[in-house]
Amino acid sequence: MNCLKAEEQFSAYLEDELDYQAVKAFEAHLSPCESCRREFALFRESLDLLHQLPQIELSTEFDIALQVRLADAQVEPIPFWQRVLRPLHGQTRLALSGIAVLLVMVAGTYLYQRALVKPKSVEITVAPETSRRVPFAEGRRVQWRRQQFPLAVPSREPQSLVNFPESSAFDLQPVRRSQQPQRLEQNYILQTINYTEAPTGGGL
Amino acid sequence: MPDLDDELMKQCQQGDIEAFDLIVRRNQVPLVNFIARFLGNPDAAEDLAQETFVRMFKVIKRYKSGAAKFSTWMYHIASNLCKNELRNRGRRGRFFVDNVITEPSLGPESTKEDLIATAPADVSLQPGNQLERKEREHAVQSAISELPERYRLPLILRDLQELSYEEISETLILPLGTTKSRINRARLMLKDKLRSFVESS
Ligand SMILES: [Zn+2]
Repeated sequence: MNCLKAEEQFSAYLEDELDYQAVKAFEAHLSPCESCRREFALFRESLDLLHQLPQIELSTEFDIALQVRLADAQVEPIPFWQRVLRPLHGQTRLALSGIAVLLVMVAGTYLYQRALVKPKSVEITVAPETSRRVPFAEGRRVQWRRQQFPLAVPSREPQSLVNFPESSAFDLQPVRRSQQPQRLEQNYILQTINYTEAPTGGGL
Repeated sequence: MPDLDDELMKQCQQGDIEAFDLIVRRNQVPLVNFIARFLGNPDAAEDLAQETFVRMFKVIKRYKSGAAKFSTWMYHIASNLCKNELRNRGRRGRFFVDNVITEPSLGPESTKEDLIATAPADVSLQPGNQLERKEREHAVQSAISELPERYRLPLILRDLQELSYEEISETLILPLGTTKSRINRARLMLKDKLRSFVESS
């Protein structure tokens, strides 16, 4: 056994994890090797120092702070609007809800119209009237298509479309994918494919 | 020997919230000590110990009971939180080892007269011994804090938290042999770092 091997067994020797043969070999190296004896003594002393480290006591606030955090963890997080409305009563709450709904509608209308006025990154082909009749389509289908759209488009609000049934929104298709790399936010738009007059296999 | 914490965890899973309170009280001091010694900072330790308990509480349903499962589970969660804390701290800057020294009653400006005036009758707590104790603790904590994370963690789990090698290998998800050799290596490094302190005292 060399010094390096002896060093590797310091812990195992101290903790009585070596078998009889290994103990014999370890001791046979240490008794003539002054350097290893010194290092082993220092090893034991530094371990003693480590074991003598005093215990750190908890601060007086520990318990109460933990109770608060655990109580928070037990409660389902309440949505912001509920937290705001909860303390209010009756008519106040009703009035505020009305105002909120109105604001949402106004904002939705504004954003929707703005999107119609300047569609920045979307390449739109206005389909001629005839091409809307797709000869071989199998029937009326509604598809969710991934498209590039400016952020302002009220993408998941079919309601705002309902407010403008006469608008040209339904004529803006097919929408072609822009050729640029897809960097803008991906949104879903409702795309309606009109049904055909071609005979179908009884699907309709 | 049945593990009481493990039994308590089973009760928690069956809806007994008070069992968790008992788990906290049984483990809060060791946990705070573990984190404080690992980070070298007792202030962050309490916050992270609380965070550990909250995490454990939130995923209590996922706990799988078994022998010595509780301590390995607790220290596994705490170790990960500590590692994240160190990573975040690495971006913010270094911390000071001096913070960790346990000196609750006396400020840094205490004179020797203050120490004598407040000295308890217990011999081990008299001023000379108290200063010596403080110096020793500082030397040992500094040596621990200088160890690389992968050695510091198993060393603390073994020599301060007194976990078995099997528990440590489970906590750190390391093979048993690697765990043992890493702890021996960590102790050898600690010995080298404490050499001048031991030889001068
Ligand atoms: Zn030798």
